[in-house]
Amino acid sequence: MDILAGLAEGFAVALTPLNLGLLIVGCFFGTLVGALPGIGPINGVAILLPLAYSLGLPAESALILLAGVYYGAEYGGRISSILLNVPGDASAVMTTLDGHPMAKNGEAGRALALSALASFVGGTAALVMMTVFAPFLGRVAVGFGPGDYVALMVFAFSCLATLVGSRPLKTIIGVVIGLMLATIGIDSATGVMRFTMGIPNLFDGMEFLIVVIGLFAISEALLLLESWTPVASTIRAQRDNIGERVREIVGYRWTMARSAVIGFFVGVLPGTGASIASAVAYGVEKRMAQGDDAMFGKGDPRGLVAPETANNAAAAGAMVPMLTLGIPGSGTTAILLGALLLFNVTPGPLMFEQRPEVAWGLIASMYMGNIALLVLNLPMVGIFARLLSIDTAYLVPLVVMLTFVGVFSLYGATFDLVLMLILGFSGYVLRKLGFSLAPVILGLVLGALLESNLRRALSISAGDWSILFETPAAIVFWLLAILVATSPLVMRVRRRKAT
Amino acid sequence: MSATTLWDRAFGAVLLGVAGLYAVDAWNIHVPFQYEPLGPTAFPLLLAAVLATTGVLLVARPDRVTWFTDRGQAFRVGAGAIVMGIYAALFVPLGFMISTALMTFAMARLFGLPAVKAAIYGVVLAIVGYFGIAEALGLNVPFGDIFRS
Repeated sequence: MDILAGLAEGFAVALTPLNLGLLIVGCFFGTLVGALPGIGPINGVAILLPLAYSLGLPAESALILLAGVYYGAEYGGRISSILLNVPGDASAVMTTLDGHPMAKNGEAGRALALSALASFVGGTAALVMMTVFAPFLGRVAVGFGPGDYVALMVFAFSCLATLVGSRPLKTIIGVVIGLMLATIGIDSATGVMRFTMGIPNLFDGMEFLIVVIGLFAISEALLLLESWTPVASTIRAQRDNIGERVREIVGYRWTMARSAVIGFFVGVLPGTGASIASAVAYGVEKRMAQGDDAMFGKGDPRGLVAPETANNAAAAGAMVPMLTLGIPGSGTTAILLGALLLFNVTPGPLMFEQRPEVAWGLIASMYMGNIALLVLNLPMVGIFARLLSIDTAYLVPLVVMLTFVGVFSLYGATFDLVLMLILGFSGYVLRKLGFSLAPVILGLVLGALLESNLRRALSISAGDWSILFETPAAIVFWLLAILVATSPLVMRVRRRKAT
Repeated sequence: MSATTLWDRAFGAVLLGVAGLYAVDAWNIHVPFQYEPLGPTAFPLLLAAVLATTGVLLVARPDRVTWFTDRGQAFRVGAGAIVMGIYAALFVPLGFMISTALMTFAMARLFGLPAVKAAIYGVVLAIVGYFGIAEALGLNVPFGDIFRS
């Protein structure tokens, strides 16, 4: 019963006044950044990360805050999807399909309440699965050698290349750019400088925070400048009878059960996150409803409940490989992983034993966070809806100011500000060319891990590359990687045969 | 401006150049003592090879990309980049409050806020921001070199 003992310890950590306060702040801020179009969970976490770091919070408290922002944003993303037909973040795209038509039919209040309840069910169900599976996966992963890790990371990258972004080629380029950024600085095994161009600020490597903030927040500011149009919007959300909605949502229990399981497992897969989970769940629900699916896309509540359950389940699922293997499941969890490393916590199979207060404290805080988010989102949805009408003219300077403060407070160096801007302008160019930035961050976070495991494996084998294909676990990962990488090709051939 | 494959082709060429420079730099790393078969150069060389290959593929099969649809977009992005650059340059010399007020004013103007409102917002954000961040949170933000003499 070490799971229950762990959870008990976790609740003891999460219930301290500081952590409880940070949890509520994180959930509130997360809903807000999720709701505001343009500022997704990645930006929210990226902006808060240096502030949390500079404030000297303990590791578990910082993680509770940042994770609150992360899954809080999955709650918030639906608000602008439903009211404005503009997804607040990438995973809320599917929510627009049936959520916005419901709002147009005068059922905005019903749609908001139903989706909040579905988010809660999805998030909580995934947490239960996480509580059961994470320690188990951790125990399996304890036996992984360096060769297994290399294969696992290749698998993660091939999932990413196949499923994320406009084109596999561009995703691979993104990953390689991230891996290259990770090689800058002193090589820890030999102590030699690599790719520092003689700049002392780079001797310790690219500061993770600066890369994240530059790539995401600064490029976002430029994109907002580009897409700005002088139109004012008016949004209203009406209150709703919550008791009636609770009764209604029970009627969708099988939809939610299916979507939660799909969401969780898609989230667990390395490299795939909430946006893919919600798309898969929506597709499955539509197929299940065959014969009775005329309302899908025109305001069918099932089309709203399914993606909202799934994206919250995936947000929790994506934490599982991050915590137990040290391999993040999505762009935002890659940043959370970077955050853990900053606080000298190495995520991986041993974390549940060595730093239980971080691992279990985080899981316990997520249970409470889901409750806090439900409470925040049912009665206070009107406030968040009104915040949607905040003019970008007020928002962007605030974001720019926070990024500068965050980066400057690290070392007090103007060089870091310039580096952040250079990275931000590059990030903007990449996004304009159709690159997704999550692969870059994943490459950056995993670069050192991949290289050191590769070198360690070849040291063990005295230079024999076959060590990478020897253990059963490694072989499974390589086969999965090949399967995933070739699946679009197979699908295309099949489709061609069918026609 | 219309969609063109030129951007992707140019970017592929840039990647090829970066891969070359990176490979040369990796090749020139000298290690006094090496106890492992791979050493610090092998992994970077592998990355350079992958980047060069993908760069060639991108030049060969580019996507169509539309950059700006009108002049206003190009102006706002360019101006925004310059505003942030100046903000970085003035952050330490002028201090947080003055530089933030100036940046906020310029940025808000780019988003179409009337001048008076933008100026008020700049001053409010600078003062509230300074006391919130430096005093309440205790973070390290520059007070300004010009006030020191």
